[in-house]
Amino acid sequence: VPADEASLVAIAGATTGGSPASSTAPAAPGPSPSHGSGVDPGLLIAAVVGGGLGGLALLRLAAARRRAT
Amino acid sequence: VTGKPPPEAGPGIAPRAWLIWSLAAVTVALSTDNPVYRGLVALAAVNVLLTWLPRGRRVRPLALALLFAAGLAALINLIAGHSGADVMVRLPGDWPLIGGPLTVESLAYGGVLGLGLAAALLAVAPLSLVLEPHDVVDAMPGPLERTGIAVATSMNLVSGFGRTFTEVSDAQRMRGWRPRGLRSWNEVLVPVVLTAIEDSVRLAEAMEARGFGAGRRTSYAAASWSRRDLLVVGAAVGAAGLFIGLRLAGVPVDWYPYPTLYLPPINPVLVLGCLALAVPSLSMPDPARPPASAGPDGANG
Repeated sequence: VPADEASLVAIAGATTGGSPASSTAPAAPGPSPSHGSGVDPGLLIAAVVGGGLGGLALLRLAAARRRAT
Repeated sequence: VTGKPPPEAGPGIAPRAWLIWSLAAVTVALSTDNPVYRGLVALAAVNVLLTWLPRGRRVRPLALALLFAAGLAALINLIAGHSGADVMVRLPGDWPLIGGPLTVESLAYGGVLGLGLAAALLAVAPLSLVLEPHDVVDAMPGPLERTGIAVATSMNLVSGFGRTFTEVSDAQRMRGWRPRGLRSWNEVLVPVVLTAIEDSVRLAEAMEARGFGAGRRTSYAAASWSRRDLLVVGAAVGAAGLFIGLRLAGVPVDWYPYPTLYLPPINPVLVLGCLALAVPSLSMPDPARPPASAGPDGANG
Protein backbone atom coordinates (compact mmCIF):
# COMPACT_ATOMS: atom_id res chain seq x y z
CA VAL A 1 0.00 0.00 0.00
CA PRO A 2 1.58 3.31 -0.96
CA ALA A 3 0.53 5.07 2.23
CA ASP A 4 2.22 2.39 4.35
CA GLU A 5 5.37 2.61 2.25
CA ALA A 6 5.45 6.36 2.69
CA SER A 7 5.08 6.04 6.45
CA LEU A 8 7.84 3.41 6.58
CA VAL A 9 10.15 5.66 4.60
CA ALA A 10 9.30 8.55 6.89
CA ILE A 11 10.07 6.44 9.99
CA ALA A 12 13.38 5.28 8.48
CA GLY A 13 14.28 8.85 7.69
CA ALA A 14 13.44 9.98 11.19
CA THR A 15 15.52 7.23 12.84
CA THR A 16 18.57 7.86 10.67
CA GLY A 17 18.31 11.58 11.03
CA GLY A 18 17.98 12.17 7.33
CA SER A 19 15.28 13.64 5.19
CA PRO A 20 13.34 10.86 3.45
CA ALA A 21 12.03 13.03 0.69
CA SER A 22 15.24 14.74 -0.36
CA SER A 23 17.36 13.00 -2.98
CA THR A 24 19.92 15.77 -3.38
CA ALA A 25 23.30 15.81 -1.60
CA PRO A 26 23.37 17.58 1.76
CA ALA A 27 24.94 20.99 2.02
CA ALA A 28 28.64 21.31 2.64
CA PRO A 29 29.48 21.41 6.35
CA GLY A 30 31.96 24.24 6.14
CA PRO A 31 31.17 27.92 5.96
CA SER A 32 31.02 29.55 2.58
CA PRO A 33 33.90 32.00 2.47
CA SER A 34 32.47 34.39 -0.05
CA HIS A 35 29.11 35.97 0.43
CA GLY A 36 27.72 37.80 -2.51
CA SER A 37 30.34 39.65 -4.50
CA GLY A 38 32.70 40.41 -1.58
CA VAL A 39 36.15 38.86 -1.43
CA ASP A 40 37.03 36.87 1.66
CA PRO A 41 39.88 38.75 3.43
CA GLY A 42 41.40 35.48 4.62
CA LEU A 43 41.57 34.22 1.06
CA LEU A 44 43.14 37.50 -0.05
CA ILE A 45 45.80 37.39 2.66
CA ALA A 46 46.53 33.74 1.93
CA ALA A 47 46.92 34.52 -1.78
CA VAL A 48 49.32 37.39 -1.05
CA VAL A 49 51.39 35.37 1.44
CA GLY A 50 51.40 32.28 -0.75
CA GLY A 51 52.33 34.26 -3.83
CA GLY A 52 55.11 36.01 -1.96
CA LEU A 53 56.55 32.80 -0.55
CA GLY A 54 56.25 31.05 -3.91
CA GLY A 55 57.92 33.89 -5.77
CA LEU A 56 60.69 34.06 -3.19
CA ALA A 57 61.23 30.31 -3.48
CA LEU A 58 61.54 30.59 -7.26
CA LEU A 59 64.07 33.41 -6.91
CA ARG A 60 66.11 31.40 -4.41
CA LEU A 61 65.99 28.36 -6.67
CA ALA A 62 67.22 30.42 -9.63
CA ALA A 63 70.02 31.86 -7.46
CA ALA A 64 71.04 28.39 -6.31
CA ARG A 65 71.15 27.15 -9.91
CA ARG A 66 73.23 30.16 -10.94
CA ARG A 67 75.63 29.50 -8.07
CA ALA A 68 75.94 25.85 -9.03
CA THR A 69 76.82 26.53 -12.69
CA VAL B 1 85.37 18.30 27.88
CA THR B 2 83.44 21.53 27.84
CA GLY B 3 85.50 24.45 26.68
CA LYS B 4 84.97 28.15 26.95
CA PRO B 5 81.94 29.20 24.94
CA PRO B 6 82.73 31.22 21.84
CA PRO B 7 81.84 34.92 21.94
CA GLU B 8 79.42 34.56 19.06
CA ALA B 9 77.12 31.65 18.38
CA GLY B 10 78.46 31.35 14.87
CA PRO B 11 77.08 32.17 11.46
CA GLY B 12 74.49 29.41 11.35
CA ILE B 13 71.39 28.53 13.30
CA ALA B 14 71.95 26.36 16.38
CA PRO B 15 71.14 22.66 15.81
CA ARG B 16 68.63 22.61 18.64
CA ALA B 17 66.87 25.64 17.14
CA TRP B 18 66.62 23.70 13.87
CA LEU B 19 65.14 20.74 15.68
CA ILE B 20 62.52 22.88 17.43
CA TRP B 21 61.67 24.65 14.17
CA SER B 22 61.21 21.30 12.42
CA LEU B 23 59.00 19.91 15.18
CA ALA B 24 56.87 23.06 15.18
CA ALA B 25 56.48 23.02 11.39
CA VAL B 26 55.49 19.34 11.42
CA THR B 27 53.00 20.07 14.20
CA VAL B 28 51.40 22.83 12.15
CA ALA B 29 51.34 20.76 8.96
CA LEU B 30 49.74 17.75 10.61
CA SER B 31 47.39 19.62 12.94
CA THR B 32 45.14 20.75 10.12
CA ASP B 33 43.51 19.28 7.03
CA ASN B 34 43.29 22.68 5.40
CA PRO B 35 45.21 22.69 2.09
CA VAL B 36 45.89 26.44 2.33
CA TYR B 37 47.75 26.15 5.63
CA ARG B 38 49.55 23.01 4.53
CA GLY B 39 50.61 24.66 1.28
CA LEU B 40 51.88 27.72 3.14
CA VAL B 41 53.90 25.54 5.52
CA ALA B 42 55.40 23.71 2.54
CA LEU B 43 56.30 27.00 0.84
CA ALA B 44 57.85 28.37 4.03
CA ALA B 45 59.89 25.18 4.44
CA VAL B 46 61.06 25.35 0.80
CA ASN B 47 62.26 28.91 1.34
CA VAL B 48 64.09 27.97 4.53
CA LEU B 49 65.68 24.94 2.91
CA LEU B 50 66.84 26.84 -0.18
CA THR B 51 68.23 29.63 1.99
CA TRP B 52 70.34 27.37 4.17
CA LEU B 53 71.20 24.56 1.76
CA PRO B 54 74.98 24.07 1.86
CA ARG B 55 76.89 24.11 -1.38
CA GLY B 56 77.20 20.75 -3.07
CA ARG B 57 73.94 19.36 -1.70
CA ARG B 58 71.12 18.81 -4.15
CA VAL B 59 67.39 19.06 -3.61
CA ARG B 60 66.37 17.23 -6.78
CA PRO B 61 66.21 13.76 -5.12
CA LEU B 62 64.06 15.22 -2.35
CA ALA B 63 61.79 16.94 -4.87
CA LEU B 64 61.32 13.71 -6.83
CA ALA B 65 60.61 11.75 -3.64
CA LEU B 66 58.05 14.36 -2.56
CA LEU B 67 56.31 14.30 -5.92
CA PHE B 68 56.16 10.52 -5.85
CA ALA B 69 54.87 10.33 -2.27
CA ALA B 70 52.28 13.07 -2.72
CA GLY B 71 51.10 11.68 -6.05
CA LEU B 72 50.81 8.18 -4.62
CA ALA B 73 48.77 9.44 -1.65
CA ALA B 74 46.40 11.30 -3.97
CA LEU B 75 46.06 8.30 -6.28
CA ILE B 76 45.36 5.85 -3.46
CA ASN B 77 42.67 8.07 -1.98
CA LEU B 78 41.14 8.59 -5.41
CA ILE B 79 40.83 4.92 -6.27
CA ALA B 80 40.05 3.60 -2.79
CA GLY B 81 37.71 6.28 -1.47
CA HIS B 82 34.44 6.35 -3.37
CA SER B 83 32.64 9.06 -1.44
CA GLY B 84 31.58 12.37 -2.85
CA ALA B 85 28.84 13.75 -5.02
CA ASP B 86 30.73 14.69 -8.18
CA VAL B 87 31.57 11.51 -10.06
CA MET B 88 34.31 11.69 -12.70
CA VAL B 89 34.51 8.05 -13.77
CA ARG B 90 32.64 4.95 -12.65
CA LEU B 91 34.72 1.75 -12.59
CA PRO B 92 32.97 -1.64 -12.72
CA GLY B 93 31.66 -2.54 -9.28
CA ASP B 94 33.05 -6.09 -9.37
CA TRP B 95 36.65 -4.83 -9.41
CA PRO B 96 37.98 -5.41 -5.90
CA LEU B 97 38.76 -2.28 -3.88
CA ILE B 98 38.93 0.14 -6.81
CA GLY B 99 35.53 -0.64 -8.31
CA GLY B 100 32.97 2.13 -7.96
CA PRO B 101 32.76 5.86 -8.60
CA LEU B 102 35.92 7.97 -8.70
CA THR B 103 34.96 11.39 -7.42
CA VAL B 104 36.36 14.88 -7.53
CA GLU B 105 36.10 15.05 -3.74
CA SER B 106 38.27 11.94 -3.28
CA LEU B 107 40.87 13.41 -5.61
CA ALA B 108 40.85 16.72 -3.72
CA TYR B 109 41.16 15.06 -0.32
CA GLY B 110 43.93 12.81 -1.65
CA GLY B 111 45.73 15.95 -2.78
CA VAL B 112 45.39 17.38 0.73
CA LEU B 113 46.87 14.19 2.19
CA GLY B 114 49.76 14.37 -0.27
CA LEU B 115 50.27 18.05 0.51
CA GLY B 116 50.45 17.28 4.23
CA LEU B 117 53.00 14.56 3.59
CA ALA B 118 55.09 16.91 1.45
CA ALA B 119 54.89 19.71 4.02
CA ALA B 120 55.94 17.39 6.85
CA LEU B 121 58.86 15.98 4.86
CA LEU B 122 60.00 19.45 3.83
CA ALA B 123 59.85 20.52 7.48
CA VAL B 124 62.28 17.81 8.56
CA ALA B 125 64.47 18.05 5.44
CA PRO B 126 66.89 20.60 7.03
CA LEU B 127 67.77 18.00 9.66
CA SER B 128 69.37 15.85 6.97
CA LEU B 129 70.30 18.40 4.28
CA VAL B 130 71.48 21.37 6.35
CA LEU B 131 72.76 19.74 9.53
CA GLU B 132 75.51 17.17 9.87
CA PRO B 133 74.61 13.91 11.62
CA HIS B 134 76.54 14.86 14.76
CA ASP B 135 74.60 18.14 14.84
CA VAL B 136 71.38 16.12 15.00
CA VAL B 137 72.80 14.15 17.93
CA ASP B 138 73.79 17.38 19.69
CA ALA B 139 70.33 18.83 19.09
CA MET B 140 68.63 16.07 21.02
CA PRO B 141 67.86 16.67 24.71
CA GLY B 142 69.78 14.50 27.17
CA PRO B 143 67.22 11.69 27.61
CA LEU B 144 66.89 11.32 23.83
CA GLU B 145 70.62 11.35 23.14
CA ARG B 146 70.79 7.64 22.32
CA THR B 147 67.76 8.01 20.06
CA GLY B 148 69.56 10.82 18.28
CA ILE B 149 72.61 8.66 17.80
CA ALA B 150 70.45 5.85 16.38
CA VAL B 151 68.73 8.29 14.00
CA ALA B 152 72.03 9.83 12.90
CA THR B 153 73.57 6.40 12.38
CA SER B 154 70.63 5.23 10.30
CA MET B 155 70.84 8.42 8.23
CA ASN B 156 74.46 7.63 7.53
CA LEU B 157 73.61 4.05 6.66
CA VAL B 158 71.11 5.12 4.00
CA SER B 159 73.67 7.11 2.07
CA GLY B 160 76.28 4.39 2.65
CA PHE B 161 73.88 1.77 1.34
CA GLY B 162 73.33 3.76 -1.86
CA ARG B 163 77.06 4.29 -2.31
CA THR B 164 77.77 0.57 -1.84
CA PHE B 165 75.01 -0.35 -4.27
CA THR B 166 76.56 1.86 -6.96
CA GLU B 167 80.04 0.50 -6.34
CA VAL B 168 78.96 -3.16 -6.36
CA SER B 169 76.79 -2.83 -9.46
CA ASP B 170 79.63 -1.02 -11.30
CA ALA B 171 82.08 -3.76 -10.29
CA GLN B 172 79.68 -6.50 -11.42
CA ARG B 173 79.13 -4.79 -14.77
CA MET B 174 82.89 -4.63 -15.32
CA ARG B 175 82.96 -8.40 -14.73
CA GLY B 176 80.39 -8.86 -17.47
CA TRP B 177 77.23 -8.98 -15.36
CA ARG B 178 74.09 -7.60 -16.95
CA PRO B 179 70.65 -7.24 -15.32
CA ARG B 180 68.43 -10.01 -16.69
CA GLY B 181 65.27 -10.28 -14.69
CA LEU B 182 64.65 -10.10 -10.98
CA ARG B 183 66.76 -13.14 -10.09
CA SER B 184 69.94 -11.67 -11.61
CA TRP B 185 69.92 -8.84 -9.04
CA ASN B 186 70.94 -11.39 -6.40
CA GLU B 187 74.50 -10.95 -7.61
CA VAL B 188 74.33 -7.28 -6.61
CA LEU B 189 72.06 -7.36 -3.58
CA VAL B 190 73.91 -10.13 -1.70
CA PRO B 191 77.29 -8.29 -1.71
CA VAL B 192 75.52 -5.03 -0.84
CA VAL B 193 73.79 -6.56 2.19
CA LEU B 194 76.98 -8.30 3.32
CA THR B 195 78.92 -5.04 3.00
CA ALA B 196 76.24 -3.20 4.98
CA ILE B 197 76.48 -5.79 7.78
CA GLU B 198 80.27 -5.52 7.81
CA ASP B 199 80.05 -1.72 7.93
CA SER B 200 77.59 -1.89 10.82
CA VAL B 201 79.88 -4.19 12.81
CA ARG B 202 82.84 -1.91 12.11
CA LEU B 203 80.81 1.12 13.17
CA ALA B 204 79.77 -0.57 16.40
CA GLU B 205 83.41 -1.40 17.20
CA ALA B 206 84.46 2.19 16.47
CA MET B 207 81.71 3.55 18.70
CA GLU B 208 82.69 1.21 21.51
CA ALA B 209 86.36 2.20 21.13
CA ARG B 210 85.33 5.84 21.46
CA GLY B 211 83.49 5.19 24.70
CA PHE B 212 79.91 5.01 23.48
CA GLY B 213 77.62 4.27 26.40
CA ALA B 214 80.27 5.10 29.02
CA GLY B 215 78.65 8.40 29.95
CA ARG B 216 77.18 11.60 28.65
CA ARG B 217 78.38 12.79 25.26
CA THR B 218 80.82 15.67 25.59
CA SER B 219 81.84 18.41 23.18
CA TYR B 220 84.86 20.64 22.83
CA ALA B 221 82.89 23.85 22.29
CA ALA B 222 79.69 24.75 24.11
CA ALA B 223 77.14 26.18 21.72
CA SER B 224 75.34 29.33 22.76
CA TRP B 225 72.22 30.76 21.21
CA SER B 226 72.14 33.99 19.29
CA ARG B 227 69.23 36.37 19.04
CA ARG B 228 68.46 34.88 15.64
CA ASP B 229 68.12 31.43 17.18
CA LEU B 230 65.75 32.78 19.79
CA LEU B 231 63.72 34.54 17.11
CA VAL B 232 63.48 31.37 15.02
CA VAL B 233 62.41 29.27 17.99
CA GLY B 234 59.97 31.88 19.26
CA ALA B 235 58.27 32.26 15.90
CA ALA B 236 58.05 28.50 15.34
CA VAL B 237 56.72 27.70 18.80
CA GLY B 238 54.30 30.61 18.51
CA ALA B 239 52.97 29.28 15.21
CA ALA B 240 52.48 25.78 16.59
CA GLY B 241 50.88 27.13 19.76
CA LEU B 242 48.56 29.31 17.70
CA PHE B 243 47.26 26.36 15.69
CA ILE B 244 46.82 24.15 18.74
CA GLY B 245 45.26 26.92 20.81
CA LEU B 246 42.76 27.97 18.15
CA ARG B 247 41.83 24.36 17.51
CA LEU B 248 41.18 23.83 21.21
CA ALA B 249 39.16 27.05 21.23
CA GLY B 250 36.88 25.65 18.57
CA VAL B 251 38.03 27.78 15.64
CA PRO B 252 37.63 25.79 12.39
CA VAL B 253 41.07 24.89 11.06
CA ASP B 254 40.17 21.80 9.02
CA TRP B 255 38.70 21.25 5.61
CA TYR B 256 36.66 18.19 4.74
CA PRO B 257 35.54 18.23 1.10
CA TYR B 258 32.79 15.59 1.42
CA PRO B 259 30.09 15.34 0.23
CA THR B 260 30.65 18.31 -2.08
CA LEU B 261 33.63 20.57 -2.63
CA TYR B 262 33.72 24.03 -1.11
CA LEU B 263 36.42 26.63 -0.58
CA PRO B 264 38.45 25.98 2.59
CA PRO B 265 37.85 28.41 5.46
CA ILE B 266 40.84 30.69 5.98
CA ASN B 267 41.67 32.53 9.18
CA PRO B 268 44.10 35.46 8.57
CA VAL B 269 45.72 34.91 11.99
CA LEU B 270 46.59 31.32 11.07
CA VAL B 271 47.97 32.49 7.73
CA LEU B 272 50.32 34.80 9.63
CA GLY B 273 51.19 31.84 11.86
CA CYS B 274 52.29 29.90 8.79
CA LEU B 275 54.28 32.92 7.64
CA ALA B 276 56.13 32.93 10.98
CA LEU B 277 57.64 29.58 10.02
CA ALA B 278 59.54 31.36 7.23
CA VAL B 279 61.53 33.46 9.74
CA PRO B 280 64.76 31.39 9.26
CA SER B 281 64.74 32.36 5.58
CA LEU B 282 64.78 36.09 6.35
CA SER B 283 68.47 36.13 7.20
CA MET B 284 71.03 34.90 4.74
CA PRO B 285 73.85 32.68 5.99
CA ASP B 286 77.40 33.89 5.77
CA PRO B 287 78.81 32.76 2.37
CA ALA B 288 82.14 31.94 4.01
CA ARG B 289 80.60 29.69 6.62
CA PRO B 290 81.40 25.98 6.71
CA PRO B 291 78.70 23.64 5.33
CA ALA B 292 76.67 23.15 8.47
CA SER B 293 78.82 23.42 11.54
CA ALA B 294 82.42 23.48 12.67
CA GLY B 295 82.73 19.85 11.65
CA PRO B 296 83.08 16.59 13.52
CA ASP B 297 86.10 17.88 15.44
CA GLY B 298 83.74 19.85 17.59
CA ALA B 299 82.35 16.68 19.09
CA ASN B 300 84.39 13.93 20.60
CA GLY B 301 81.97 11.92 22.69
